[in-house]
Amino acid sequence: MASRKASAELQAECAEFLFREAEYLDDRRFRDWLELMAEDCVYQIPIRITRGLGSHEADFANTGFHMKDTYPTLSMRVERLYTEYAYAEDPPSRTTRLVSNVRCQPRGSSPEIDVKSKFACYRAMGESTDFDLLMGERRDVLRRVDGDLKLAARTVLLAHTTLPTANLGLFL
Amino acid sequence: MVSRVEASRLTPRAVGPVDDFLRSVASELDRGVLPARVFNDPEIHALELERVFARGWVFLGHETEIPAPGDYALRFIGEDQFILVRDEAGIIRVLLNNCAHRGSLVCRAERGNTSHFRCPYHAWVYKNSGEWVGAPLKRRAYQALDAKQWGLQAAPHVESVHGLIFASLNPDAPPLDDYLGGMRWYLDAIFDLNRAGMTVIGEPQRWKVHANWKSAAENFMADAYHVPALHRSGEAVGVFPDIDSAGGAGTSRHLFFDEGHGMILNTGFLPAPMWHTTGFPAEVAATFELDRLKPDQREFVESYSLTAGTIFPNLGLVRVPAAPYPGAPPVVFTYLRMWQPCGPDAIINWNWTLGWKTASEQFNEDAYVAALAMHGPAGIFEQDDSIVWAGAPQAGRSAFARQRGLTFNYQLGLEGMSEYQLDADWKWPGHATTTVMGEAPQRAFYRRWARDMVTP
Repeated sequence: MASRKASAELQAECAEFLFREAEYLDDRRFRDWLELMAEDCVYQIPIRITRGLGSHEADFANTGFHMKDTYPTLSMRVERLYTEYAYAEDPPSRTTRLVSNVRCQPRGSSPEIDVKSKFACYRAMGESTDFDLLMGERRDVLRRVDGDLKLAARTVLLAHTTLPTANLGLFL
Repeated sequence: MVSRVEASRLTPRAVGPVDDFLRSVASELDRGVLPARVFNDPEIHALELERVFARGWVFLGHETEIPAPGDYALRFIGEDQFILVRDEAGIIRVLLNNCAHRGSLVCRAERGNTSHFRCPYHAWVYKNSGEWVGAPLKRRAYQALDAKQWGLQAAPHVESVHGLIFASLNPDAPPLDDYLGGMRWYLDAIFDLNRAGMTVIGEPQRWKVHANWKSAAENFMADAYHVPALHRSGEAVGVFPDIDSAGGAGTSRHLFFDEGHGMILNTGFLPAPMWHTTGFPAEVAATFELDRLKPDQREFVESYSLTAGTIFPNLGLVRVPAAPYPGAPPVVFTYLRMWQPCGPDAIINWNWTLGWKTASEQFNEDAYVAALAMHGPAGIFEQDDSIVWAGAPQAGRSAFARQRGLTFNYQLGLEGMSEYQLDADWKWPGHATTTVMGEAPQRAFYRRWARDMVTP
């Protein structure tokens, strides 16, 4: 079945979902953030490498990953952030996430919507004026569950080959 | 007149204070201390690139990353970039990625397959063996050029052991087996458990961390003591019960060599049948062909497993079990780690997770997922390591620390400190200790480092 064009209303609703998600993460409301995840969600960050223009293989081969998470591993990461031993994020980094270029495409009569967006995540720690800037694209699948949207799948396509940050102790 | 500090900046290779300082490191280690300065000094770092990285055998990648002729990957020895490539004859070459004409990069894609490398600047062309084959207008432009002299600079020695590719830039380097010494015996016991061997899963992860490379090397080599402190969150979230047992309260021991290699061995973290005698579950262990090993190696494999280790200077090995999340069954994963120095105060970590070619796809996938959740840049254990190593380079360049002659404490396991000693009854290669409540391997690592550093 051919997918239909997203209405302005759906477009706005998907963008609002992503903005709220970014707010939860920047405000360190990780349990609220986890509530946005579907219990069967798949969260992946494939590894990017530089290929030549003539290469038959893509920059993202989807064989190697930085994160290959599901709800139980995401939940573990969230709970860790509330322990007193998550030293990578204690004191917490200061993050500012910008989400833009949001475009959505409903999957016909399915409750799922493909949503593409671009993100920039600024991350700074301590007194230093240095910061890490993580950027890329997100390919999400949002699903309507009892009227609300949930994140059913996310693939983060990084703009980076080598990660410019000391750890992925944050969610992108 | 220039100040002494400026003079040392102008003449970084001058024989003088830095050599005296480096000569003092070995004797300082005898009393269990290491000067903070070794973790951040541009002069020392420049010497390391020459005397450690361009002298020893350095890990570059795994044979399964470049299975076919023409397959290549860009890799580093110290801070120099090389093309790791399998040539048309199937021989693995390690070629400096700089055109012999003006130094331009001849290869800018990080992975691929090619029969030739063509420099974009003036279009000099090299075979994937590094040999010079041509340039535009060759017959008019380079009538007398001796092609043999103008190939890409190749590492003089390239050797593999159980799929792990090493190269040495030192023409007088000993064979890899001699360099590894008794560590080679253990590499058999870790990687040669069957004919098919191990394979890299996906591309290596890379991430940049503020650290001196030696902090990572000594940590992987032997630092059991930090595990229950820094990695306490693993127990708190429920994926690593009784984490104290990993830190000195358990049955692990150190195994190390005067050559600067070493590791932590354990007798099994998990109850049977999850933990078969080889450290793998019975399903995987059934695919092993242990008769490949010598009888004493086989006895070792049936008694001990690697936890973590370092091959001098900058290769880490890890094989540990972990649950990917609370309540999930633990799974054993294996990975290789390389610490690429980026100046004295930063490294790029390279991480290759390995699977057994004979294991089920499901086992390798489960191991990969657990490895990503626990180790690497997103791993809940390793995230915390990435923060603590930033301090040593800060102290290393501190004026006050220099004024005080600040040294760090490596006295764990020295006489009177703990029940930690060499096991006189150890029947296999290397020095084994009775527990992991010590830092003998770290001291051996830095002694080896200091020897290399004072050898011109």
